Amino acid sequence: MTLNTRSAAIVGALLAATAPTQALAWGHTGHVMVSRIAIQKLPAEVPDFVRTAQAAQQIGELGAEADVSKTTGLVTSGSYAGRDIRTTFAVHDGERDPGHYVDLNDDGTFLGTTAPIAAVPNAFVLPNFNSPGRRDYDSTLRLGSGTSVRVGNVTTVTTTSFYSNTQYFVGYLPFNIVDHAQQIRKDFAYIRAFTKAIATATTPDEKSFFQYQLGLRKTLTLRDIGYASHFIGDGSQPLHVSVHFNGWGPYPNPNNYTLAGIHGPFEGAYVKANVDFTAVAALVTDYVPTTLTFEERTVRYMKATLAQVEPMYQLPGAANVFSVADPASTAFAQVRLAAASTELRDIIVDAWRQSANVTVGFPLIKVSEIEAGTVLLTRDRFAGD
Amino acid sequence: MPRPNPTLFLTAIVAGLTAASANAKTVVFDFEDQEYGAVTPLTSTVDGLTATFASATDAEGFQITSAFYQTLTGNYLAGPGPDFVTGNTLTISFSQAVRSITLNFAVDTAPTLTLSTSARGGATATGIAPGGSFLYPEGVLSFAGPRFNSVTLSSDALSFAIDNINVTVPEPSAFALFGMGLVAAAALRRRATA
Repeated sequence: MTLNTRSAAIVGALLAATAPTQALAWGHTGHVMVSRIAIQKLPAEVPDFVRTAQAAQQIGELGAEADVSKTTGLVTSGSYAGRDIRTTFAVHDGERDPGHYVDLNDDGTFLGTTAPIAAVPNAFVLPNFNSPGRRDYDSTLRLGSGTSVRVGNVTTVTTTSFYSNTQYFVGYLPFNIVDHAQQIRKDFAYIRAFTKAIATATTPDEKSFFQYQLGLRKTLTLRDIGYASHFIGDGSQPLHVSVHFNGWGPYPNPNNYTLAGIHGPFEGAYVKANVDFTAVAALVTDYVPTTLTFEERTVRYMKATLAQVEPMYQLPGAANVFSVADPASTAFAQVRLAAASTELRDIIVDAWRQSANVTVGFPLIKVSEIEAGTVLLTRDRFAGD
Repeated sequence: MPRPNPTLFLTAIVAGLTAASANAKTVVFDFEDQEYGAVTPLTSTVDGLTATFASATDAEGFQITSAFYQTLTGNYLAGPGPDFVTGNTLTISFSQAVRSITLNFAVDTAPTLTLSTSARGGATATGIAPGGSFLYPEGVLSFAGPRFNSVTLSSDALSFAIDNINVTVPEPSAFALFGMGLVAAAALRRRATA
């Protein structure tokens, strides 16, 4: 049920002021679980250093990192649970928070627009930009919305309406997922290139240089996969891809779905208390090769999750704010977590496969040419000035 | 000539063996004396027994880490090391001969861990996923047999981890008692056949 553009913007502005849990995700338990299982389910074609138990431990912990390092943009003040939590310094810019979610209408259009997520990324290519992505998405939101709220007369523009037609309000989770997947692919490209460069090095210095680069890149790769896994995990939580992100909200509600804040209780305490790790792992299916791009598969992923929004509101747990365990709610949570592990595993495999067909270094060199031996990767070519 | 007393002869042997068994001590290496992040080769000395842990195939093949498994508590020793090399073996050398060894282990991409000793014999154990919080197989590997000075651990997994290494060390006094038992038995036999 799509609201018209103006109504959606107004509703969105109201929701923004009362949405403290929107940027949370699965709780720590869920995120670590998603990441660990994905690593354990990697096929043997993925390099060994990603598939060890230690890699699973590291990536698992980093799966929660984007939440662990939170309080983005806030100089916290006041008290919490009777403790003084006033601080002097902010952590990060608040710009990061909307990277954990996207507010989609029930028909798959972005909040405040008629643009469907299926159009990502091609519908968001602006003139003179040949690289679709978050930049163009945000520009499209600003240009294409029906509201007139812009920088305008400062005295009449509220804080929420000021950004209500931007990525910072609607959220940019799908673009975040794509961006991180691309980084993993780039990491793997360097793994391939450095491995070959070590084998073809003509001097001990050259070999040592690339051995160091390879070790450093492996460290970065584990970090990048771990950090990326957070957002891929977010993408399977239905309340992270919907305008109904914490209760059904002020939308047509013929089925009387709950208006209570079910977001946090479901993904946090309920998962921790009721979800079985082995049950989730058992639901992760084998990798299926695909020709989809990261952009295409992310759209598919978002749409699949969006389709679970209404079923989630129909769960017995939704009626009691997930305060009481029931088999259907637990099964639902396990399926959603498994979907995240499956998507993360598949993105890692795709990143590895596609990494043979990207470029490294500067000036750019095709990895396929390095691996084929038609171009020799030297220290000068990799770190050319 | 008096006939040898078989009962006395057997008693002397059993007394020696019992004394040796009763006086053996158990030494536990749990890596709590190691710095987090320390890499092989590394040594640990507990109750007078020194164990050296070394990777046969890589200079820094294993490292001290923590907080992942259920039966490997506190610090434990795990591969791969900081250079990410997988498939390493691990050799544990003791400063004096030991009679038995039992350890906790965890593996990743294959379920078994194999132990071979510097003497003869060895053992293989298969881990099982403990369930609940995580899935990697964990298990207990034990071996007892002829005294040995070192063991080598290997697995088809990409990596494995170990902790709580219990070894049984015969006490010198036990050897002495066992020797006395043998001497007594020999004396009895000589007297019986003289």
